[in-house]
Amino acid sequence: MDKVDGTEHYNFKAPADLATLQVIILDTNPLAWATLESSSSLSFPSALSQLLIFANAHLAFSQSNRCAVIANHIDGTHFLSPADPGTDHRDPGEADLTPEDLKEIAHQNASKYRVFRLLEDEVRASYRRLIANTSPEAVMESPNTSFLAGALSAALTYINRICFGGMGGRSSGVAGEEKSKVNSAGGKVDETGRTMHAKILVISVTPDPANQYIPVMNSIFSAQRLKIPIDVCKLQDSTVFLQQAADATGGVYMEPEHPQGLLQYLMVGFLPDHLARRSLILPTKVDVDFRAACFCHKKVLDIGFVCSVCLSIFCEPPEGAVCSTCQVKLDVAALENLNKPVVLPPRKKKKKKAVDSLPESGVASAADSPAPTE
Amino acid sequence: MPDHAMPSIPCPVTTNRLHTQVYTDPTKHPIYPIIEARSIVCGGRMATARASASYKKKDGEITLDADGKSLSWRAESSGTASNPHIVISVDSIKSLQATPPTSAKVMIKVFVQHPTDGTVDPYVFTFSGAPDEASIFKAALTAAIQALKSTPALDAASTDVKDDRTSLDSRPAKTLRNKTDHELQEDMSLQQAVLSASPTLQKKFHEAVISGGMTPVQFWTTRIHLLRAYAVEQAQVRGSYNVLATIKPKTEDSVVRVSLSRDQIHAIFEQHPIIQKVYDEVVPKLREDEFWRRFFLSKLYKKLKGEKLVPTDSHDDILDQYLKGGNLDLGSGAERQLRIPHVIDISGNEDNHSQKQGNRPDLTMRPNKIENVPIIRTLNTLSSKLLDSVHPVDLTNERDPRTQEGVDMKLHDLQNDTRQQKILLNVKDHRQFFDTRSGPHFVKPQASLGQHTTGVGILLMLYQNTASHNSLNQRPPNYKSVDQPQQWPIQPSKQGTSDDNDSVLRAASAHISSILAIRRVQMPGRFGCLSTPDPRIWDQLLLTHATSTEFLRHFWGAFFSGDSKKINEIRNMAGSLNRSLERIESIATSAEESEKLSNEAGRGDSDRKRSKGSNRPPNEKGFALVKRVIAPQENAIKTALARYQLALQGSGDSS
Repeated sequence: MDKVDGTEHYNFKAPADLATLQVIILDTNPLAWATLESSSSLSFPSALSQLLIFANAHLAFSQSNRCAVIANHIDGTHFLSPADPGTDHRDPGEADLTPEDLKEIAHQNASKYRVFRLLEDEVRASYRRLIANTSPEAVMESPNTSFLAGALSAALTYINRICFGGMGGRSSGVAGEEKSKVNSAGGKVDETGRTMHAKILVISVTPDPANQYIPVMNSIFSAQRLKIPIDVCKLQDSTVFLQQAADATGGVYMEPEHPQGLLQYLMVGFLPDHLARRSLILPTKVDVDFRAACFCHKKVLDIGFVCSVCLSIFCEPPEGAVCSTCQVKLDVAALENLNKPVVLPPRKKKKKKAVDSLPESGVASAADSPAPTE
Repeated sequence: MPDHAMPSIPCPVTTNRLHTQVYTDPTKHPIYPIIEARSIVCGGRMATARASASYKKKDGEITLDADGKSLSWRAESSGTASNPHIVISVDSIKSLQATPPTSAKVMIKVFVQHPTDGTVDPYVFTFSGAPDEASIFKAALTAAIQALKSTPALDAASTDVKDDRTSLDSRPAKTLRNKTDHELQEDMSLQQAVLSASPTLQKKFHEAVISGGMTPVQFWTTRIHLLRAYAVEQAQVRGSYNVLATIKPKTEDSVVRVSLSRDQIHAIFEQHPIIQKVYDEVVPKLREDEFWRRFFLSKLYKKLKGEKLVPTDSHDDILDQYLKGGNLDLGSGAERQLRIPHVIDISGNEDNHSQKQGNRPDLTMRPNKIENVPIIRTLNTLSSKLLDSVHPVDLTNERDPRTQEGVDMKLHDLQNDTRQQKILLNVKDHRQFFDTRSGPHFVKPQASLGQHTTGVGILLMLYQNTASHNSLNQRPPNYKSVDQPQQWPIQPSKQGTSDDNDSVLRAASAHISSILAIRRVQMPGRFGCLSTPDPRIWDQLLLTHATSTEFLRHFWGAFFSGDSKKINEIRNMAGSLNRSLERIESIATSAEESEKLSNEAGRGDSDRKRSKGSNRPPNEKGFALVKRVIAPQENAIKTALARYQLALQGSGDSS
């Protein structure tokens, strides 16, 4: 009788069964890497090799694990793996190879696990194509260019397609055609309808792209809703966006003190999947600074004023009671009394003077939350 | 009465032959007033009120209908055709005015809203009979209006009553959800009830108000939601329930007794109209208790309860004839049926409705073939009946099923997209806000890289060092550059010796471990560095913390209000905050003392604790521990007091 029991459909597999998709967003700004190399002697080629080891480690955990690499370049974002469909996937130098070279390469690759080799070849070839198509002038003109928002969006859309769409599309990580029809981890679906788990790792060497504040924050919130942790490995230039991204999505944020040991950081900090993370203490940065800087004087504030419409932060009510960001007329009538506490009866017919010499940068506000302690 | 109908048969309750009798407690539940009780509850009727009154100088009689829903006046003259006759529906009465009872001529003026065009017509009736009669009638009319208006939703929607214009008090009974914050704050008895319902709140109240000097009003202003929640909770009444299932026969002295209260009987009649029908038809012939005795033994009872009928069930030739009545639910659920739009009404092919048979297809395709009604279906019908008797609160236009249907007919896909009512945000470029922030990190790349670095050089280095195989680098890309396109030598990327690599990785590991160590200490749970003080001290601390927070809240609220009337409140709160500091101090001291005591009691204890975690800070105990736990709040209180002193001095100087 049990064989015809139709309730089997409702017994979802435990989430442990699902594979993980690792999306790596790699800053490829050449000048930023050159700067990093001069300061910490970690070169991009070395970092790329270490990153590929990390990706291999991820792929080695499970046969159905996948990996995607997105380059955050100076002219936009590019998928390094899986490469854009319909483009030339070969290495730019491949045309010049002699039969002897090919033979030697084949010999060298013979003892390599195929999945690893396919990923490595694809990433390296894509990257070299990218570099070959980059103009030297553009490199020198854009020391800080980053398309973080675009890269995050690309990662999220890719994750959406792979992990939630069920249609799969092109296989990632494994560039071979023979795998392209495996759309999900054996068709297993967890209770939220996802066929795979996903996490994003951002390797960043460029400062925050300030003009992308809103799109980056939106991406962070999407990731948060989809329960996709954003791990951040910040090799240079401390960041606010990514710190908050990691914190909001439950990812790991690390600023390696020894960038040359990148592999160690990657392996210890970022390799564990969502299940392992539940039982591990993660080496994420200890003190996340959530204090915000005001938009008007760039002061870091404990207590400030926030525009009720666009959430801009001010250290004092903005001039003319108009928000400098969104031009909304603010009602500051209720704030008028903030600086003028009346504590004595006005029997002397004199107006109470505003208390100016206050410790907190002239901002008088209800300090009903305790002051930060050391 | 036939003899074989007497219960000399196997009783369904036990296997013994028992006598069943309906037991009624003569003091509490007299059995005879059942009929009376029913008429009161079922109809909700009141006596017809009438009084002689004249309208437009014609004598006549004004009558308030027994159901309290219409007011009619009929001229006294005997002519039938030309007899002026006014009928006013009570729910269309907008307002009511009356002369004071002392005046010689007693009149009432009724403002009636026309049902369709909404105009308000006044009708003046002058009472011509005894003054008593007039006042009784007035009272009855007021009561009728009130009764109509206090029934929720349905009537309230159609008659919008302006209370303020009625000179007679016809205000509807105030429902609790309408209570304003102010009313809730004034309601002392409600506050008492809330306090007695929650011991923790009572403790807080005691600490803050009775010993802390806060006024009750201050205390409750921040807890209006509690008052409202409690009031709403109290206003809820229990709905009807499945009565037959709750009646449990009891065996006493080998006699099965069933006790029935008047409410229960009423509920039975309401839920099972068939019983009422049987009762109405049988009871004059049968005695009341006889009827119930037979009923609880009958197949009818079993069927209504949803039990299976078995051939060994006793036969009752009076009650059993009602079994075959087919539909046992007399006209029940008619109200609910009306609301089902035809689009989704599947009762048309009910016989085909396979789900009614469970997973089995309906083989007979005919209704009423099921003799032994499964209990689930009985319970389901009963539940839906119970729900039907509840006034729906979410159906506003229930009265007009047509419009309801029309609403459902609208298919969402065919509708235009509703216009999104969004506020346009004119966000300026955020770049200006962050440029200076990233300033310190911004290093001119050329400065750190040296003059010889060129874009071509960087790119070539990257290109050549990222190849998967050296032979791929035979012809580097030809960058069009101002620089000479020179052949760059292949630089092997800087890979140190294995010793170098080892030390770097070791350093990285050490860095990660140091982060992990800190995170481990911060983990909540057994790795935490915070040992909690003993529960008695802890409770005190929690209470003090809660009340101090309360004081702080009110202090800042008053402090920044800029209202000179609140000076006293500020001073009081400052005093209370000072006392809070003292309280914290005393708790810390007592913690220290109890710590000493326990140390003397068990000396080995502390050693054992110390050996547990190696990298947590030395165990803080007693005084230090309490101070550390409460430190944030202590800071907050001190900040508040400092600000207060500063403001005091400031205003003192300026004066």
